[in-house]
Amino acid sequence: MGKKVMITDDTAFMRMTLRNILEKNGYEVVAEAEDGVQAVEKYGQHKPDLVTMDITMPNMDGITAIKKIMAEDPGAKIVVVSAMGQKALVIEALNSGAKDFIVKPFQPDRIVEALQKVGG
Amino acid sequence: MRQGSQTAPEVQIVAFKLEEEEFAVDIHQVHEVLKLVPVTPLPQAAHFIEGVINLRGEVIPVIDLRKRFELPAQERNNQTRIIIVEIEEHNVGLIVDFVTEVLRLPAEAIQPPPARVAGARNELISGIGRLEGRLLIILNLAKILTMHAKIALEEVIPTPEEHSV
Amino acid sequence: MEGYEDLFLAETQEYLQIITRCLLETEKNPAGEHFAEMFRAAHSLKGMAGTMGYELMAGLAHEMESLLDQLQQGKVAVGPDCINLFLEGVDLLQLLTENLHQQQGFRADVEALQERLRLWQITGKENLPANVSPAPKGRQTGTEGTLQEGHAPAWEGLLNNFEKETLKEALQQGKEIYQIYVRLRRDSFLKSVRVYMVLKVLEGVGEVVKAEPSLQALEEEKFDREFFLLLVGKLQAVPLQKLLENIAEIEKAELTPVDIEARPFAAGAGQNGGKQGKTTPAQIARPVEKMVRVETAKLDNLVNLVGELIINRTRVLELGKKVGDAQLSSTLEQLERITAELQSAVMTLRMVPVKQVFDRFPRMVRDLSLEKNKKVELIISGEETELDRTIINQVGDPLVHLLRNAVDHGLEEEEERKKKGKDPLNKIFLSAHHEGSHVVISVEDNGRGIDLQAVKERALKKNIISREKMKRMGAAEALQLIFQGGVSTSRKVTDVSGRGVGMDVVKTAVEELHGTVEVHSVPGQGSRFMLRLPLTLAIIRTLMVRCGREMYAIPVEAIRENLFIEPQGIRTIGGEQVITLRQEVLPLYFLQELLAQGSPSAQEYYSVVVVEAGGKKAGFAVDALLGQQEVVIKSLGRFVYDLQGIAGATVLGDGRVILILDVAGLLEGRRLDFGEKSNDH
Repeated sequence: MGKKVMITDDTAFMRMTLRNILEKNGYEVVAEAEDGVQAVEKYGQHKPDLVTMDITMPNMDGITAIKKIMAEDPGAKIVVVSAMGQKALVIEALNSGAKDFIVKPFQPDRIVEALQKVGG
Repeated sequence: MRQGSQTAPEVQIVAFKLEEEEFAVDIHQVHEVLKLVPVTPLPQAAHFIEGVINLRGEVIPVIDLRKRFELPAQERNNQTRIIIVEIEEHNVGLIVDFVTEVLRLPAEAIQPPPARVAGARNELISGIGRLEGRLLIILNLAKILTMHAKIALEEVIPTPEEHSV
Repeated sequence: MEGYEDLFLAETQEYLQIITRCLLETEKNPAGEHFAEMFRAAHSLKGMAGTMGYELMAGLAHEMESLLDQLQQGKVAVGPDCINLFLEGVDLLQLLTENLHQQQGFRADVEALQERLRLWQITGKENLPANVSPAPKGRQTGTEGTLQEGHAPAWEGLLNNFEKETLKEALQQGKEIYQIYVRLRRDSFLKSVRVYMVLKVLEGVGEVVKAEPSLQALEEEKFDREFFLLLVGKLQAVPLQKLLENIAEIEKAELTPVDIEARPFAAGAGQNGGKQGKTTPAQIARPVEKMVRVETAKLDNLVNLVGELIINRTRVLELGKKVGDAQLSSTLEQLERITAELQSAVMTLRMVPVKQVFDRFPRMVRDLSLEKNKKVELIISGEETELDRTIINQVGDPLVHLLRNAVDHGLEEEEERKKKGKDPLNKIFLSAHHEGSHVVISVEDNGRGIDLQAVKERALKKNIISREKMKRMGAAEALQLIFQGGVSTSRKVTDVSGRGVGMDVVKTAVEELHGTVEVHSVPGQGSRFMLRLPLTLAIIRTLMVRCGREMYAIPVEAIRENLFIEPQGIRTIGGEQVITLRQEVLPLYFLQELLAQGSPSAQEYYSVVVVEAGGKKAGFAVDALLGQQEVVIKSLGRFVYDLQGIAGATVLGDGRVILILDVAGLLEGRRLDFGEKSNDH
């Protein structure tokens, strides 16, 4: 059984793209969250091995969500998903506990590499 | 027009007088109201530009609203005020006869300018507010400085060529 | 992304200039080693464009980079056609930067050029001429992009004394020095964040003393995908290496102990250590940056605030004088000194080297010389001279005019030069240097000089001078005619600059910058144009005058002299009032009238300011001269910006607003005003 992943992104298209990539590479997507609030909630419910976290989202942004998740589970393995040019935000996310980051537009092998390295 | 008259249920305005007519501007565009200060005349500027003043180190143009609306010149007195408004992120002073008050006006009390108001002047007006029998002409500040509006105005009312104030 | 656009544009410009300069140098000297530098520039450009999502630019830069790589490795020979191909690429990239939001319109052009660049890579390889020897191995001079595994930096040459000291201390504390080599995956995004992650991992185990490329270059993503760090600390190499390699997109991380007394243990160390040392600013132990990029708006604000401070200082000084307290005045003196220093310090922030403008000229002159079939060498000096950013931005066009003019009319064809026994090579000297509070930029050529007779005849034809006048005219005076609209320095009307467009434009542009133009010319030997520009536009020296109730500031740049004249000294010729100054007849205007501020009162004598601007000279009669003063120029705001004759305003110590006159504008508008006035009155 592949590792359990939760995808967090506010756009359905991005979630779908990521799900496809991950499932093709043997990951099991156990949950999708549309914003930070859902991410925190569903993390508690599903306890995924890995989380992908978009930064800019409504209701609660990714960085806040990372902080909340890390507070509840210091062992959480979160990979930030960023757009190009969000350098400052990525650094903030890393400082908040994210383990690594991937950059949109997605390139499957890069995502898989990042998740493998983080997931161990 | 940032009047917000369509969406906000209530509009706050600063009302003032010119000749016998009562005008108003959206309070969001008003920075402050000054007593008349010495104005440095600007040669070659549009006739309604009185000159420039020093507003805490910033040099800003001042418009004589009487001239802008082709109203007869009037002696300045201790009620004369300069209303500092912001137009497209720049401060501009408006010389008015006197400032009456700050009012709250229900949005529905503001109507578009009626067609019978002369066409060109129409451009300078964003709406007509009614409050307890008073008529308030609400200015469209974005147009107040444009030459286009000036030309249109001159088409309606011939401009007397006068330089002295 | 919007916030990055300005930065992107600025940096793209820098890279395009680097490529252009290198191309031209390569053209002159194909053996010169400029490929690495060009390669890096093209590469960085590609990276930035890709990050910004400008795929066409990135794609084009990519092909250029690939070809440069081949050239660098000696797989393809360089030749004039090749240089031209690259220049086309530079032009197209330039066009794309100018049309950032309409890139797609250039798709066909880009694709066509990409194809040609690709073709070159292939055909060039097939036709490698025997006389071009492949580049020697390890020739890479680069610090970025071309570094390869094992080609470790020569650390010793890179370290400054402070850093060496840090290392020494660390060694004494029993710490060890490591070189860390990191290679990212190809085409990583947000590379600087990868660097950040690496530094974060290292934070816990030691101190990064030095980076190659520099930390700043890494931070700015000015590297390809490899970098070296010099670290001191106590650590276990293998686990640390694993930790680093566990960062996504890091392809390889390698830790090597270094003996700093000798060389790093890694192989192939130490080529061009000196050069690297020069290009890498000395860094201290922490990621401290030597340079900071600041938005120009912030600088402008700072300059404005200092302007305010100066105005208030003046006011405080005035008040202080009234009080007359000794302690107060000595404190005020200090205040005056400090604010003056602050002012000049702030002004230097706005200064940029003229190199920024000069850099585009070698290319332009090259193209022109090919077009005109005149051999010419452009010799540039003093490009490090600094000028206010605003002036730099505006001085380009006049210089283009002057250089074009020099190539077009000043320079001679080879045959002509040989016949005259001159060196067959035309030369243009472009130079800049400081002269007091001014910068002088000079454009000099060794061509045929200005044909004064032709100039005079043209001026006569255009009714600028009378036949009478033409006969009396001396050389110096005749030379000034070229600054009149319609008079050209050329004998024949062959092209744009020969139609009398140019010199008057140059003069006007320079005067708008409160500068002056001088011309010297020796027939048969050449011409020299000198632009004298103020260091800054934010503060100018003015003469304060009073007219009626108002005061005005006249820039001293436009003032020739001041005089007093009696009413009898004023004559009327053809309806205009004139005065005679050393046999020169000058129109006299009462400033008050000129500015439509009423009529002047009769006086026993008048103060006259003799001004000259825009090719016109005149006297301004005023009520009183109040003395010179440095003033901070303030704009009148966007709603009243185009007033003819008014350059701006300034605020005096007492809060009064004083208008600064634009003499050229006043004299220019004079004729028009006359027409209007006669209607009014």
